[in-house]
Amino acid sequence: MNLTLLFDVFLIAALLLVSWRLLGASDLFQATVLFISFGLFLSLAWIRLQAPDIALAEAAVGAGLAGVLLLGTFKGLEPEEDREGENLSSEACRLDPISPCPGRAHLLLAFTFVGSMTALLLLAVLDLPAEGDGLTLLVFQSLDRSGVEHPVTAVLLNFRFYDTWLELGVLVAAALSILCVRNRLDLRELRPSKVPDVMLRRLVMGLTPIMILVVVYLLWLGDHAPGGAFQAGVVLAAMLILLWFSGHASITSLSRILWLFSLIAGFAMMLLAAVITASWPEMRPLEFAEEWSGAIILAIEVAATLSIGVVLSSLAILSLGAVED
Amino acid sequence: MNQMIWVVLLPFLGSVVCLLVHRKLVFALAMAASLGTLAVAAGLVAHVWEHAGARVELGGWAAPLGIALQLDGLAALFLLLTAVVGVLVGIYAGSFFAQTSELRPMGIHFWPLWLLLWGGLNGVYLCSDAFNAYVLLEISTLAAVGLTVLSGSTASLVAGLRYLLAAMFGSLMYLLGVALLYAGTGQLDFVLLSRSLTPQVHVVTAFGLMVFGLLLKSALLPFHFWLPPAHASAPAPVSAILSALVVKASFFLLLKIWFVVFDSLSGEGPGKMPGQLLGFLGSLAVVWGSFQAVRQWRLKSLIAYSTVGQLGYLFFIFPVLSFSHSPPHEALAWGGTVFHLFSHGLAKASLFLAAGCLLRAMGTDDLHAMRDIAGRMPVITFSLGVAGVSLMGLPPSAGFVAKWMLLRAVLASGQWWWAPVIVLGGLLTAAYVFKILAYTFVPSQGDAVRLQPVSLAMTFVPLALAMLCVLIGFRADEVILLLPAVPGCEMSAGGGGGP
Repeated sequence: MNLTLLFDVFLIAALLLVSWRLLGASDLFQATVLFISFGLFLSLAWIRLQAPDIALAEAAVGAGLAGVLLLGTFKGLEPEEDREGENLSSEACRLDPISPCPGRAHLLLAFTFVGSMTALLLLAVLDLPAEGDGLTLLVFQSLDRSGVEHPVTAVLLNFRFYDTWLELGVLVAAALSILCVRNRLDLRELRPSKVPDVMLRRLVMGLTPIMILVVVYLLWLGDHAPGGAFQAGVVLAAMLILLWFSGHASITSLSRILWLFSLIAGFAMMLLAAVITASWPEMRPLEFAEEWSGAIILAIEVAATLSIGVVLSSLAILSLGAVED
Repeated sequence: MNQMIWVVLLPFLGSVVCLLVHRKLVFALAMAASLGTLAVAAGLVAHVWEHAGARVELGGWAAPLGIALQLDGLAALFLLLTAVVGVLVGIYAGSFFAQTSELRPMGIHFWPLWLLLWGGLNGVYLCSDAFNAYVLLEISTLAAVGLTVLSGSTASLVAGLRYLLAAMFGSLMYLLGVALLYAGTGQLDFVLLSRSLTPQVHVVTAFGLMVFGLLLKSALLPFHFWLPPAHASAPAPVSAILSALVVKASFFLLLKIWFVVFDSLSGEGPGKMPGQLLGFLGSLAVVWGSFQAVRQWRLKSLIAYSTVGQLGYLFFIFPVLSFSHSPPHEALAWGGTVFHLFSHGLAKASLFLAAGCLLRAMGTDDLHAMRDIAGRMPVITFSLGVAGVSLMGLPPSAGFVAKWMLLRAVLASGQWWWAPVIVLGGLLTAAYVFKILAYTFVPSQGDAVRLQPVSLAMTFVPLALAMLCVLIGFRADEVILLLPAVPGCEMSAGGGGGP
């Protein structure tokens, strides 16, 4: 008991320290590395709060993918000449050079805001009823009618199917927006900025089958344990990025139409389910017959995994890749 | 009433199809989806008119566990406004993005993103679940940011990034409030939440956070900083959509949060203060936004600042209704607010689209360059004038009906101090509308700028929007009858699907 308490105190201290250092960092590279370690500590905190699903997602997306994106952006900001020179300060690379840099007054305002928000939230959280466990009981009571055995999957893909479907729509919107920013129609011709060496190629080649296995395992696990489409999709994204980075065939080899198909597969699959159930006279929209719901959910999870993997890896490749002249 | 989900499904279907088909078919299929959505929206308005609101439980899971869709008069009117503006902007965009080889690739991204945005907006209007509303706001925000950066120019990137950060921050504040409410009550459904809320610290905090987040997204005055650059730097059809529709969706949600979820909190004693504060910020927005609009020299910036000013009028409903709960003011306040939403939505879409035509014809939207436009582009100038008349609030336009009703509601509730603001805002609006029109009538000196041809569709869509804006002024009674006198009561009783 005392040991776990000690661990919790250590975790909280680490989180506060890392975020304080992160805010004070003058060098963007340092800030990025601190951000990644912040994400890892945060996922440990989720484990301590007994939310393994969120911990997996936080480690993969918050620390992993966001870290890749930030490092890639940092690479892009670095001036071509004198790479060994001065550290890159955050003032040197602002998108909007016209408006003034944040000064003392801004910082003071920000700290006042954050301080009062923290105080307010503390008061609010202390005011919360102690024994509230939300809808957990109701979820467990309805679990046998949902077609899956893991409560989180049941909520995500049956009880609140609509939300999950819209989240996949958010991913599609994000991918399309980045496409607009880069003025591109697809990912072809985007190459990693450095020519990969042989060791990396071999290593990734060896790792790929294992990662495919992990993707399938995580996907299958979602039926009865923490795991499922989001976690499997992130591993798939990592695999696709690594394949691309080491010069193997990846999503950049796909034609526009094939890439788009895999990008929207999850969203379109759920849309199809919605259209069919909405046109069926005896059923309510998004209602699945009990005997079919397990199979439908599995099919949708497969499509969603593919989409999540492709969207996340596309985001990374679009921001890291360069076009060869 | 299962067909109400089709207003979400049809735009999404259109979006997916537009991504996958050949680019020659995109416009036809997108218009098919748009017209289909308009037809369903009209059907829903007719349904509310003849029967009442309705509620559909998605997936057959009843409210605390599942998500429900809730249709009422307010939602039906928003659906209709979005569909009318959506179809007309779609016709305009089909012609706009076919103009030059630079614009054509933008068109490829425009349709999927816009239809995704439309589906998200329609979802917001039908939403009855606090977390679901967050997801819908996210999908609308990201699609709207994508549309803002459509051109890929640096100015639009800076504006789009600022928009994204402001809107994300707003969403997260809202989400924090939702989390507090869920932790406190174990409910997410609007109606169930409203029944289980009591004035405790965490509930009041959640109220503050959710309202703050939505105000940031609706660009009420101190939080308006992201709006003018984003709306001014986007391509014309996108500016029209952002100004006419997107900011209204978060305002719609604010109405629901305020008058349905937290209805029991406002009213007596200290409960009046938030309403007064919103009214105060609204009046600041009316004066400051309109004043800034008068000072602009670029047509699109002027129209964008005008949006900041006109949005301020929407916030008078909060002080009026939190002061007194008697039906006559209430009907007036609801009617005035919804009429203002309609008239501003149609007029602003018309103005931005007309500005797009001028930008196309002249190559710039500098007011100084608009010499003798009235003689050479009469239809566009006429649209600018008619839309301007409605913004100013001159009879017989919808803008007049809106401001007249708002003025009466304010006076009837005994809060005369808002009335001068409404009048002053009208005068400032007149000043910037006449500033635009004055330059169009200045005769050109010697060699005039050669105007590029503008297609028929692009010329007449702004006119159609401006004319609709006037015509709807004659249908005031129907709109008021569609609106619930006391929306909270109607929603909790409506549809009979509640648990």
